Amino acid sequence: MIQLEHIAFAYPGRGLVLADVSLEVPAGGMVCLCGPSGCGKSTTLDVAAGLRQPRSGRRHVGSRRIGYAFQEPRLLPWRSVRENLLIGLSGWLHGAAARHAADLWLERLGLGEASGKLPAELSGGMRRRVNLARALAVTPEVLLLDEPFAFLDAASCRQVADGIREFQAAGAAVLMVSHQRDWADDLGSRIIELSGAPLRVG
Amino acid sequence: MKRICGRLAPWLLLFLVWAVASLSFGSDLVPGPWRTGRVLAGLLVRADTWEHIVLTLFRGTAGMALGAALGYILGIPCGLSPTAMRLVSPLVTALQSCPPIVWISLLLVWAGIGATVPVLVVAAATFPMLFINIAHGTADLDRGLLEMARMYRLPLRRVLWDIVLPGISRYALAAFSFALGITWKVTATAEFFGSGNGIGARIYWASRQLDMPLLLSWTVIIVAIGLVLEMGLIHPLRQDRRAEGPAAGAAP
Repeated sequence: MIQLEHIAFAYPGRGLVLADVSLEVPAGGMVCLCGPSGCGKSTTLDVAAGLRQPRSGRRHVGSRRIGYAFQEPRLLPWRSVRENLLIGLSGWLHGAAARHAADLWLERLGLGEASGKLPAELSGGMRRRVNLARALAVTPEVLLLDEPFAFLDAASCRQVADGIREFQAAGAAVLMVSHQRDWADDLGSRIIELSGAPLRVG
Repeated sequence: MKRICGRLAPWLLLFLVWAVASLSFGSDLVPGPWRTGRVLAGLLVRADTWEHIVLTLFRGTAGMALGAALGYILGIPCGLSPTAMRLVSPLVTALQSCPPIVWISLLLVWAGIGATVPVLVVAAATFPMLFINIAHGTADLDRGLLEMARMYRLPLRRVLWDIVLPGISRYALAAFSFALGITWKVTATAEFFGSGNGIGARIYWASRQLDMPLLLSWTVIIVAIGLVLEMGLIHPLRQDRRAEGPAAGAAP
């Protein structure tokens, strides 16, 4: 479960990005934020993730087991794709269980061949898939996705959507930001249309 | 052939200047390359010469290792926390402007003659530049990666080993090559004043005896050590970095 109540947020020395944001994603629920670039969607995800401290308001997230697929992939450039996943898992899983989860999600997102390569050797779309695989591999109870379908071909979108659906069915709360409304609809997500900064929701 | 000539040219020039100086000031004051070479050859076949060389190498390495350990232990937290940086940074700058001779004098009183002085003096001399580079490298780390680490609750060991150390390796390498350059000079200076053995102590001995060929021979030895380490260790490492640099360093 993700609960944001009257969140206000500003980056130091700048104006408000979020003026008053309230939203709730129940366990097994899915919310998709749609809206123009720069309106505060990614900031809302960062606040939900606990990476940004809101100026006021209350954040409650039901689990610490969070998978966050960032807007930019944030992979370690000096480690292979597989090692990147294993490192992402290292807070939760170890040894054979970690290797199994990493290989499973690399395979499912069509990255099996790329597992030994460095991020710089991959295409932009593949790096985005590694970022998604890392988020899904931790068996998240809270899933935060920043543009999960951007720059992916139709087949990859379907693999990603299948993964998201699986965790949602298992009771994960999913909060995502996407321009691809057709995929959000397809997943049966509640869509919140956003407009104008600073952001007011709820 | 042309490349070999090009590489040899500076050394031939050096020998030429040396020989001319020897001829103009006299062989007693400036022994020529030939005479020095003979003394040097005599030195190199003696076992105790190598003992002194190994001692100096060991002290320099131990001192730099100590300086580097302190540089990492203090530099990484200071790079991560601006508050810690503001607290520690002026002290390091003060340390950096302190000439090695001050450390030698103080440590001679505190620790007496022996291996302690050169090791600690080298640590004090190399620590500031290692600290500053490591702290800056850490401060320049990709924040996105550190946030990723926080998000996925990576153990501290992982954060250090997989994110911080590879992320700052470029800065650390620059600092190490600089530190290595001054290590032998400082080790020899410390031994000159505060030790009965090691290359510096032999230089002291030769100068007290006004034995110029011996003095120059030891000079050749310590310069050769610096050159070999720079060419054999730092140079290949830097080439290696450059080869993999742009690809590995590129933002994904």
